[in-house]
Amino acid sequence: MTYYSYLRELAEKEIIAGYTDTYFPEEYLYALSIHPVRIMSDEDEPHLADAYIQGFCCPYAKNLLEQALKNKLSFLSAVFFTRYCDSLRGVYEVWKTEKLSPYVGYIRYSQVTKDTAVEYLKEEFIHVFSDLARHFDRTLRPELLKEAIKVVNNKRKLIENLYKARKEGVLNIKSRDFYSIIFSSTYLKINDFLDRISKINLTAGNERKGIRVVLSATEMDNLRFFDLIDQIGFYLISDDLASGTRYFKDLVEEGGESLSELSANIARRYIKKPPCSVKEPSDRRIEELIYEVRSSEAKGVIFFRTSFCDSEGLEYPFIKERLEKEKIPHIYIESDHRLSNYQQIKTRLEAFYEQLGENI
Amino acid sequence: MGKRLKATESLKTLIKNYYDDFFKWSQEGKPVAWLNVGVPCEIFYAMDVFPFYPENYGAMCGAQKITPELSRIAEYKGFTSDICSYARANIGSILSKKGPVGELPCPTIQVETTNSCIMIMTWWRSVERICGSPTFTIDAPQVMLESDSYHLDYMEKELLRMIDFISEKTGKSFNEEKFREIVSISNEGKRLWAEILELRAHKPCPMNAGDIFTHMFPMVSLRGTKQYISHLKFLRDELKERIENKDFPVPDEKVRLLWDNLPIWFDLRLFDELEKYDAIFVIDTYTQAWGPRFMGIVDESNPIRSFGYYVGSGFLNVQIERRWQLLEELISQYSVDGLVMHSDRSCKPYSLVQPELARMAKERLNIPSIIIESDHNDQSGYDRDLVIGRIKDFIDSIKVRKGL
Ligand code: SF4
Ligand code: SF4
Repeated sequence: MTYYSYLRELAEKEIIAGYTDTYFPEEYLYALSIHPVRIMSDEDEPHLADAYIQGFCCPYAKNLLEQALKNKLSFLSAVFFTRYCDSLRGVYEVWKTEKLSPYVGYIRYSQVTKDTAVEYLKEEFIHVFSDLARHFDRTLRPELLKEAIKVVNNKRKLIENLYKARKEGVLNIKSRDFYSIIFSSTYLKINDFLDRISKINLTAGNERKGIRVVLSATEMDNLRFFDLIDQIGFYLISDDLASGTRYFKDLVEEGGESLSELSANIARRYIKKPPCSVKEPSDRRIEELIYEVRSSEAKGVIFFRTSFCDSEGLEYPFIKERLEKEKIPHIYIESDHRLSNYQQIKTRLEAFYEQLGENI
Repeated sequence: MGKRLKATESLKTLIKNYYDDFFKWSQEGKPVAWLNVGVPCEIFYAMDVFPFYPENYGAMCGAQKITPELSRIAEYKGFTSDICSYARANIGSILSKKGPVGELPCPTIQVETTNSCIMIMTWWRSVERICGSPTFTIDAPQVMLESDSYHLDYMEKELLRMIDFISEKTGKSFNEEKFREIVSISNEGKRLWAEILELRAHKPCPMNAGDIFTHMFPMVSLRGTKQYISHLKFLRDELKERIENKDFPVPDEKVRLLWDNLPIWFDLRLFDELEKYDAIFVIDTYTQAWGPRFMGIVDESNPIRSFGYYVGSGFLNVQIERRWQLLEELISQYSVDGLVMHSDRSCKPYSLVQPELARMAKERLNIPSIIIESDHNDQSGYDRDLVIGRIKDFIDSIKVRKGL
């Protein structure tokens, strides 16, 4: 079942809320029995969105708007934005003004990765999710939030184990198949996700051939890209993606009883987790990328930047410098989630493959 | 056309003195802080730390049309060409040790606030990595209308933490008495600025947009200093004089326009050029960011908290509801006939809501808009004739609406 059909069917039974970046604390939705879903991109051209937002809005963010304007996301009873990047901020303003979902939530998120932000963000979480609870006639109860923290922590551990198994050579499936599973964790019900994992066919092809690489980007969820990586002969062993390793690293501390204590724990995790480049300071991101390369014995890094992504545009020179210092070969690819310049990407990746092949 | 203000001459001296001081401080090894425009310079003046605004410097690069050249240097280092042209110009300047005022010395410290864009934060981070200058980020989570409750408490604490950071990194202490004096001068200047902006509501309007943008410099960099007050008084009096003497840039004014977004720094003459069509830009949204609505008159009995409020509710830290309120107020106060929205490729937070705002103006107030795409600082790809042609057509259509 596809992403859309699965969620349309699910929406008949329960409330679904969408979010646009992985700083969204899904724990609260589990506590309110609302199913959290990360809105994924699709390959539609931005025909409708063009009338609402300019061409220099990042195409990924713009695509989410396109889907909403086309009414493809009608299964979402609520959609949440956090203060993330300036393109998503623009999309949020249109979404809210045009009332593209029955409920549009916004978290006045901190941009810093410092402890000093914990107290503030805790208050903001309580404020935002109490309002959501009222809207759906529910109550935000500490015991349910405590339980939800465990549920999400377990989900993160499970995903971490999948990555470990891949690094250890136990989960030798194609990059496309691996990432299809990883991304499905952001929209499937947990039981359905477990079911999907149990069906992984470990004997199908034993594909751990190819040159091991790590993918670094904010977000890349187009499976055609992973197909291309497979076709060229790479083996994507790990990543530095918001919905990849940055999603599962660091858990919420499970102690505490009151709403305030639990919310402080949640706030701390999201503030201290491996940062995206829209957060400050972001140094840990580079360290984590190097760690992924070293721990997986990857031969190189594919750095993918979505056009008009400001924070990555400024971050890249330093990632480049650091990778060079570490003598880790890399390639910089600039495109959009639709891979508009597919042929060019393919040619460049092929050349990178050759380059890495020569170095082995 | 393009009637010049006498105050523009004295402004040149003011800018020259400021840059002379900046270089002198840097050479003498006295602390210099790079700030983004949302950070209150008053606190730095009170601590004897020289406040320098790279965005202002960026505008200078724009006006001198050297941004593309500096950008190429940044791009060579790996920075991409689609990031804000202020950042490209500044980073290119640091890397090449070239620019409109010669080599730019690295700062002692940097302070920035997240109250405008993500760009600032990553730009300051880049300078920190290049220059090694310690950086403090004033975290200012975005609000809908204004800073409130726990958000305001947080903003106040952030400013107190910033003061500790400045002391720790520069060895300078916070002088409460001096600070209060500076805040009071700063407030006086803000009142003068408000008066200047209000004088533009006069029919005919005494000052076109190019001039007000030029005269923003003291509002950005000199708040709290004596020369700031004397300059603003001079400017205010000159505008009053113009009104008394009926000496207007467009005496037979027929169309009153509003400019939304940053100006096109490399083509401030654009505004003058349009005067021949009996049109004048009577107001803009950009200079409002330093006006009483956003930078505010600080509460002198509780200045840090009050600064916290205004940083938290800064012009680009509010959401579309507040941006619309502002437009609505300005349209009415200045009898605006149409909105010219500069869709600035560099500035997403300012620009990405413009199509919605244009729609609102049409639907709610029947005010027409035109959206022109350009960049505030980088002239690459700028087609002046096309821009003028489009605005002229817009002016003509307004004349038709008005039966002129
Ligand atoms: S790719 Fe960059 S600009 Fe686009 S949504 Fe992600 S963070 Fe924002
Ligand atoms: S993106 Fe806009 S607000 Fe940010 S630095 Fe550039 S011009 Fe200023």
